[in-house]
Amino acid sequence: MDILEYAIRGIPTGCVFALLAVGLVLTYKTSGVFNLAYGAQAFVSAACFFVLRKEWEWALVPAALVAIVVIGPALGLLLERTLFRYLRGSGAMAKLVTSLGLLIAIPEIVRLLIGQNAKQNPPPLWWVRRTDEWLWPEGGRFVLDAGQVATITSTVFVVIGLVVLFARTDLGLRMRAVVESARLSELHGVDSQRVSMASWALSSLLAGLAGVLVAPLFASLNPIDIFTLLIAALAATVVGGLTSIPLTFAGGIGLGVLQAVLAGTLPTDSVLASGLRPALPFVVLFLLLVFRPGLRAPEATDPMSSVDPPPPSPVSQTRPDWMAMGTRGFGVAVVVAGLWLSISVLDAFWLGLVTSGVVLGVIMLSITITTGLGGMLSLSPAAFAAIGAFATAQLVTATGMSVIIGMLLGAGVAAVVGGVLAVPIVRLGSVYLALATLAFALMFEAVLVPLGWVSGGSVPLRVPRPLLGGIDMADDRWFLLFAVICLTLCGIGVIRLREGTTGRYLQALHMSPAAAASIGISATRARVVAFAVAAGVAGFGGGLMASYLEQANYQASFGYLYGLVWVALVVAAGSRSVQAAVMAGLFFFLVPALLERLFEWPENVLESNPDLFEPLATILGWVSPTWAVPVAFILFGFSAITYARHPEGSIEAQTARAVNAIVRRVGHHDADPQHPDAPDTRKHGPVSSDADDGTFATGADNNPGSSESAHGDAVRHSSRSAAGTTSSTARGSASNGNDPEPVVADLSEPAGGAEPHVGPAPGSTPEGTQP
Amino acid sequence: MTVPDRALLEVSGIQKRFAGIVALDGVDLRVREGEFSAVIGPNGAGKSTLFNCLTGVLSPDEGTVSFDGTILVEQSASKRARMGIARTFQRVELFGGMTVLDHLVVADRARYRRGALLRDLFTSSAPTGAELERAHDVLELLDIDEFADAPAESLTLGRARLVELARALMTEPRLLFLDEPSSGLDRTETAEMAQVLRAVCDDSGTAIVLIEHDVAMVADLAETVWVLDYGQLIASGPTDSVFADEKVRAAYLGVTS
Repeated sequence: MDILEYAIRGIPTGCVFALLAVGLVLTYKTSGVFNLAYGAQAFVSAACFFVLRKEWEWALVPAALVAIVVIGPALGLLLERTLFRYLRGSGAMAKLVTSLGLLIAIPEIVRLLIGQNAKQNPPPLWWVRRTDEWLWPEGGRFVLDAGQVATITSTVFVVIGLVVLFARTDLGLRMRAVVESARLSELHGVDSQRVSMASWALSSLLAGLAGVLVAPLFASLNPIDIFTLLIAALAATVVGGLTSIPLTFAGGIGLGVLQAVLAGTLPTDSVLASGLRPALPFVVLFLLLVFRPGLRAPEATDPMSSVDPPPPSPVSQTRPDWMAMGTRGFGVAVVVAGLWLSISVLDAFWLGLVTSGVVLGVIMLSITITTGLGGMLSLSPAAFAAIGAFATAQLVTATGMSVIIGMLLGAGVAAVVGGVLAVPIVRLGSVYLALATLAFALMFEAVLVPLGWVSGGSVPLRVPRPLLGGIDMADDRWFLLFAVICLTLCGIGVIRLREGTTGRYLQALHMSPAAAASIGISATRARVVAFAVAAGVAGFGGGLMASYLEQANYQASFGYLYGLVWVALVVAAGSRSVQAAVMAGLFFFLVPALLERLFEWPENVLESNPDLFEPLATILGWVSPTWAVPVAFILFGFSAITYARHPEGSIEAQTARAVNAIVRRVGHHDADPQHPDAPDTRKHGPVSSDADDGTFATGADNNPGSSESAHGDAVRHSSRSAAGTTSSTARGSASNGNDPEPVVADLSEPAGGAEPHVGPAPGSTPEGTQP
Repeated sequence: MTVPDRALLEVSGIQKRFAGIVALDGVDLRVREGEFSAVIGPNGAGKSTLFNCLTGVLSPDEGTVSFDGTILVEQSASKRARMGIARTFQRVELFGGMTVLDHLVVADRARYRRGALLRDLFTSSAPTGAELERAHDVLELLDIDEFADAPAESLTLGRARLVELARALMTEPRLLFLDEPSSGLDRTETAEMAQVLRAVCDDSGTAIVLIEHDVAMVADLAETVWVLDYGQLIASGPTDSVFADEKVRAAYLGVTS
C-alpha cells in the first residue's frame, strides 16, 4: 500500500493549503474582497512572530498571542477602516486592484521596519522541534514535525469553528447578509459597520495564524514564498466555489495528498516529476477554473445597486478638435525633447534606465489592452513578455535570422499562446479570470521556464542587438532611438484599436454585455482578440527587452511578481491611456534610482557636517540608500489603491481635470463646428471628472445634501455618507420604488436635476461601478 | 390579408425551469413575417424568460425554436442577432461613454463588418458615408436626429428607450423583441412611442413582438396577442377576440364578470 502511505504523508501539506484557503474563502464570503493581500497579512504576523521569538527571545505563548491575536486583527481592522469599507459597493476589479496594491506594498513596509537582512529558520508554533516518537509510534514511518502537528490541529479547529459560525450563529448570518447588500442589511437593523469590522478582524486573525504556521516550511522568512504558497492554496478555494468551507478544506487536503502521491509514484528523473510536482497546484487551479461549471456566471451584484449613481464615465473622450491636436502636438514635442535630452545629456547609467523604461513601456501597453480596453485583469503580462523573449532568442540562435524579424515572430508566438489561453478563460468572471492568468503565470514559471527548449536551461540565452541598414544598435543611444520608435508604433496601434471598431466593441461589452450581444457582438471573440493582441505586444516588448539586455533572463526580467507590479502601476496611472503606460514603464525603473539618490543625500550631509545637531544627525543617519527599492515598491503598491477612486487612472484624472479647466475657460469663445446642436457634448467632460470623486463611496451618494462633498476628498466624503447611510438609503429606495427604472439624478450637475438622467443601468455592468 | 402566411418564428413546446420553479411550461408561438404581435401577462408570468429563451440569453430545457426555417439550438445571443433577431431591454441598456451616433455605428458594424482588427490598425475607423447615412435614416425615423452627438448618459429615459430601439433597428432585424418599451414613460412619451413603433413596423417590414403592460397600447398596435400566466399560454389569437376572452380578463385585466 505504497500509495496510501504517500497519501498520508500529504496530509500535513494538505492542511497548510486548507488553512490558507479557508481563510481566503472567509474573507471573500464576509467582505466580498478576493484578498490577494492575504499573503501579505500572513507575512506581517510571521515577521512579527519571528522578531519576537528569535530576536527579542520572548516565550512562545506571549509571542504567538501578540503576533496572531493582536497584530493580525489590528492590521485587518486598519485595512477595513481605511480602505475596504469604502469599496463595499465597488466592482470586483477595484477590490482586486486594491488588494494587489497592498500585496506589493505591505511586505516592503515590514521589511523596512524589521530590516532587510535574511531571516533564517523561522520558528515553529510549537514547543519542541521534532515529535516523531510519541505521535506516530510505528517505528517512525510517518514523521510529523512540530509545525505539522500545530498546522493539523489549528486547521481542524478553524474549519470546525467556521462551519459552526456560519451554520449556527447569528453573526455568521449577518456577515453573509452584509456582503450581499450592506444597505439592505442596514434597513433590517444590522449594523453593517460592526459586522464588517468583525469579518475583517476574524479573517485577518486567520491570516496571521496561517502565516506563523507556514513560515517554518521555508528556510528563511520571505513574503514571496508565502504568496506563492497562497496561490497554490487557491485551487482549494476554487474547489469550494469560494463559498463552502468544508469543500475548501477537502480540496486542500486532496491537493496535498495528490501532490504527495505524485511525488512518490512518478519516476524521479522525468520532466513530469521535476516540472509537474511543484506546479501541480497551479495546474489544478487552472484546470478547475476552466472546467468547473458554475464559475462563468457573472458576480452577483448588490440588489440595491440601482440606487447607486451611474458609474463614472471612462476618460472624457469629447475634447474639441483644437484641444486634441494641441495635446497630440505637445506629446510629440515631449517625446522628441526627452529623446534628445536622453541621448545628449544622460550618462550611461541613466541612459540605460530610460531605455529599460521605454522598452518596458511596450510591455505596459499590453496591460493597457487587456485591462483598459478589454476590462480583463490579466496578471500574466510578464509571462507573455518572457514567451516573446524566449521565442526571439531561440529563433535567432537557431536560424541566425535578423533579431528584428525574430522579435516579430516572437510576438507572433506570444499572440498565439495568448489566444489559445484566452479561449477558455475569457468567459470567466473578473476574479476568476485574474486567478486563471495568475495560475498560468506560475505554471509557466514552474513547468516551462526550467525546460531547455524554452529558456535554454540554467544559462540565459544570448540575444544580439539589432543591426539595421548599417546602424549597429550595440550603441546604446541608437538602441534607445530604436526602442522609442517601437514604442511609438505600438502606442499608435493601441490608440487606433481603442478609437476603432475593436475598442468600441470592447467598450460596449464592458458597459452592457447583454446589449452588446443583442446587436451581434460576440463577447468571446472580441475578448480573445484583445487578449491575443495584448500577448503579442507583450511578447514583442519581451523580445525587445531581451535584445536590449542581450540575454533572455527570466528571473532578472520577467518574474511573475514583476508582472503584478507592472499591472498595479498601469492601472494606477491610467489603464486606457497610452501616455500612462509609457510613464508607468519609465517610473518602474526611474523611481527606485531617483529614490536611491535621494536617500544617499543624508549620508553626504553627515559626512560634510560631522558636528550636526545630534537628534537630526540620528534621524539622518537612520536613512539608508537601501531603502530605495522597498520605498519605490511601497509607492507603486499604494498608487494602485487610488484605482478605486480614479478608475480611469490618476494621470488620466489629472489630465482630464486640466483639459476641462482649459476648455471651460477657453471653450466659450470657441464654437465647436462639429456639434452645433449638442451643448451636452462639451458639458459632459467636466461632469464625468467631477463625479468620479463622489462615486468612490459605497453609494449613499444620491443624497442631495451631500452634493458639495463630491468635490471634497474621498475619505471625508465617505465617512460623512457612512454616517447618513440609513436615511439616504431609505430615501434612495423610496424614490426607486416609485419608478421601476434606475433613474438617478446626477448630483454633480444641479442644473440637470429637473430632468431625470439615465445612466446605463448601474447594476448591470459587469464591474458594478466601473466604467 | 394577402401576405403569405409564412412563419418567421416558430416556437413549440418551450419549457424552462429554474431550480424547481417552472417559468415556462410548454409555450407555442408563431410569428409571421412583418406581423405586429404582443405578449401580455401579469408580472412573473414568464414573459421576459420567454424573450431570453428566444434571443439566446437562456437556453430552454425543452422545446424547439425555429427562425426562418433554421432550428436554433446552440446559437449564442450574438449569433442570433447577426441572423436578424434584435431586442431591447426592460431596464435600458446603453453603452456609457458613447454618443448616440456611436451606438448606431457600432451596431451597424457588428452586423456587417468583418476583420475589424486589421481595419482598425491600417485604415481610418471614422464612420463611412454609408454608415452615417444609414444611422441618420434611423434617427430621423425615430425623430431623435438632433441628439446624434449627445452622450448616452445625458438622455432622458424616453429618449434612451428610443436610442435602444434605434440601435436594434441598425442591425436591420427581421424580428424585433421589445421588452416593455413604455415602462417608466409618461403618457405623452408612451403615445409617442406607440406612434414610432407603428411607423417602424410599417416602414421596415420588421416583425415586432412586444411585451407590454399598457393594455391600450397593445390593443392599438398588436394584430395578435399571446397571454401568459404562470408560464402557460392561456389565450392567443387576434387582439380583439383575446381581450374579449373571460379567462384573460380574470387573469390579467382584473375584470370578473
